[in-house]
Amino acid sequence: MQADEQDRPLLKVRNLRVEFATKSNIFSRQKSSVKAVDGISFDIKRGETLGLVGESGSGKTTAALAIARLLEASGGEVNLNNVDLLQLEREDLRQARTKLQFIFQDPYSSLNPRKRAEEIVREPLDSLTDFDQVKRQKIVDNLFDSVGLRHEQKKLFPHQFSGGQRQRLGIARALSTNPELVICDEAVSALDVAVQAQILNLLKDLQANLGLTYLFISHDLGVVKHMCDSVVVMYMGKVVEHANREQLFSAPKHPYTKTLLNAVPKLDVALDVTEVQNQMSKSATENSFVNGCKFFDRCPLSQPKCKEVAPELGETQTGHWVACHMIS
Amino acid sequence: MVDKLLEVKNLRVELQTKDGVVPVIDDLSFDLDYGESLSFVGESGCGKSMTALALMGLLPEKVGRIASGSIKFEGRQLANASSEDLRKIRGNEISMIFQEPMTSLNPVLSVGEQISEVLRLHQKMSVNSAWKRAEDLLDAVNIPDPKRRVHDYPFQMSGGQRQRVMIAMALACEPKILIADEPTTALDVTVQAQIFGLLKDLQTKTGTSIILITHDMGAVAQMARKMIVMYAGRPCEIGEVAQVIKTPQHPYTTGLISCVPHLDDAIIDANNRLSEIPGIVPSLREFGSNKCLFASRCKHQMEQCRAERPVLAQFSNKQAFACWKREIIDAG
Repeated sequence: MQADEQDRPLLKVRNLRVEFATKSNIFSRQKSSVKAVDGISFDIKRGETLGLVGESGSGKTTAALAIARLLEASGGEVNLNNVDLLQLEREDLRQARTKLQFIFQDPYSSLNPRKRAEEIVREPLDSLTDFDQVKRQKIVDNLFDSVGLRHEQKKLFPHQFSGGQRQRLGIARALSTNPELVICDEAVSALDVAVQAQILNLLKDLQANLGLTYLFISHDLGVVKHMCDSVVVMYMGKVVEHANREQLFSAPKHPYTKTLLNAVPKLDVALDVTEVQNQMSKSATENSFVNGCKFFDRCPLSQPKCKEVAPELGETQTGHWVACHMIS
Repeated sequence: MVDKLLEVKNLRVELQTKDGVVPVIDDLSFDLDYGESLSFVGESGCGKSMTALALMGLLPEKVGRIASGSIKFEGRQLANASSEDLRKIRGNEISMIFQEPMTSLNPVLSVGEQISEVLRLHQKMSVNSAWKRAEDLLDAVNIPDPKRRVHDYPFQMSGGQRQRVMIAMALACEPKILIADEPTTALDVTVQAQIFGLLKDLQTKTGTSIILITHDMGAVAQMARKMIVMYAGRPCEIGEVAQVIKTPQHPYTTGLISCVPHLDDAIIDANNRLSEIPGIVPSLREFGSNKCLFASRCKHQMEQCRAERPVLAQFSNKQAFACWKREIIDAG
């Protein structure tokens, strides 16, 4: 029974969709919409880290915001501990938010400049829990210790911290309600490389100590490889590949994943960038192939069929899902 | 004797801050040959961009100045040259691509007007021929349908396309040196690969020398032949890229390489930690003091590090570094 509990995924996302209404021109009454997230599904096991990668505009952040109910989803299910977050209202939603917290990209703009550090960290406790003053203070003190900030810094304002310290504050704030799932949206992208290593180590330590589960969004594939147990690759709102870390990085299957991995500058050899350049000479265009595979126009393997029928995500081997007609 | 393309000697750049005058570049020397590519690496606040601004004569007015040292461009002294002389060189013989393509393009002029302006000013081209050349340049940087896109405004282009426009503008006068300050930081990896490919292509075609400023060791490995690691305004390691990456000598270089998870690293176990460089770059107040500024973050630090600035000393014929530990490192 206990083992069952452990094995069950903490987060189950099913067929999540987010659409944004657009008007094609100001005179037309007909509404059209952009499918920013187009039916994505994945699970995250308790205590694991799932990476969400893709180019900008692929819908990573939109998906994360919809999962956290910071953006209204158009359909689908988001089960956290077997509770569908998308169905919750008011007080229930407020209670559920304590279990799911967000770490944002920009440590500069995501902290209220007029609040002191301890107020920032305490804010989720104030608004989401009913703990008394003493207990809240104790939690804040403990958090300052665990993210590596000094107690005398509690009274400072955000501008008096360095970028890395501000991100530590953002992490402390996210952990204050003792969440189970933490969504890190490009949490280290704005930081310098040396500070990035410090924050990544902190996130790993916290995960080991507190049993946290991370949904980790990043465009840096090296960081994703280091941090994540499994990886979901998104392209224009769809999942094109989903596999565990070993398989995704050592044997990527989808041509888009391969291109993405090839594009990262490597340390050892000067790789021939012209190859990638030719493959990627076109950039993603919205709604170009409404019916077919969205990667069609950039894909080196594309066949006429790809233009007609959108490939479904299929399991090619245990735990490795790919959405491509050319991969069986 | 033939002059070097660019020869920088003992350059010192000072900034006026409220705590007094601080050297943001402190004794930097290097040279650059025709067709060569050089990369500056380091964290932010280490003087990489300041170096570029000093070369371009674009230091913040009244606040920054070149205190001593020389910058020789084909034998001509650029340090403290008159702004008129600099204007002739800038954008013409030395040009620069900035980090943020959105904020460094003029939002109310079409990209064609912005590119042709450079040509009209520096090459005294007529309006028509400058416009024609702008179209050709957009084509050269692989913007599809250049005849139409030349009328576009920056907001109508994607981030990668804007960066291509910046490159087209920088290359308009076929400069001898192209300085690229974090040209791909705001871009996707796929777009970054395209921009790097484009820069390399253009370098082979035009023979331009490239100075690349970046914090990404992968980008350095791919783009440059020589590199300079900067820390707190001082060069701490200089050498051939392949050699420095393979056998970094300065603890800061070692840290910079190993603190980043690279894609070509092997997956070890699930809980491996990155090696950290603790702390952050010292504040400007500490710049210029006679000690090793990296000492507070260095695991090898010893008394001498806090008492005296280490000198940049040759390690092998292609590598030099500034660290007091060198004897001990040498000894094994």
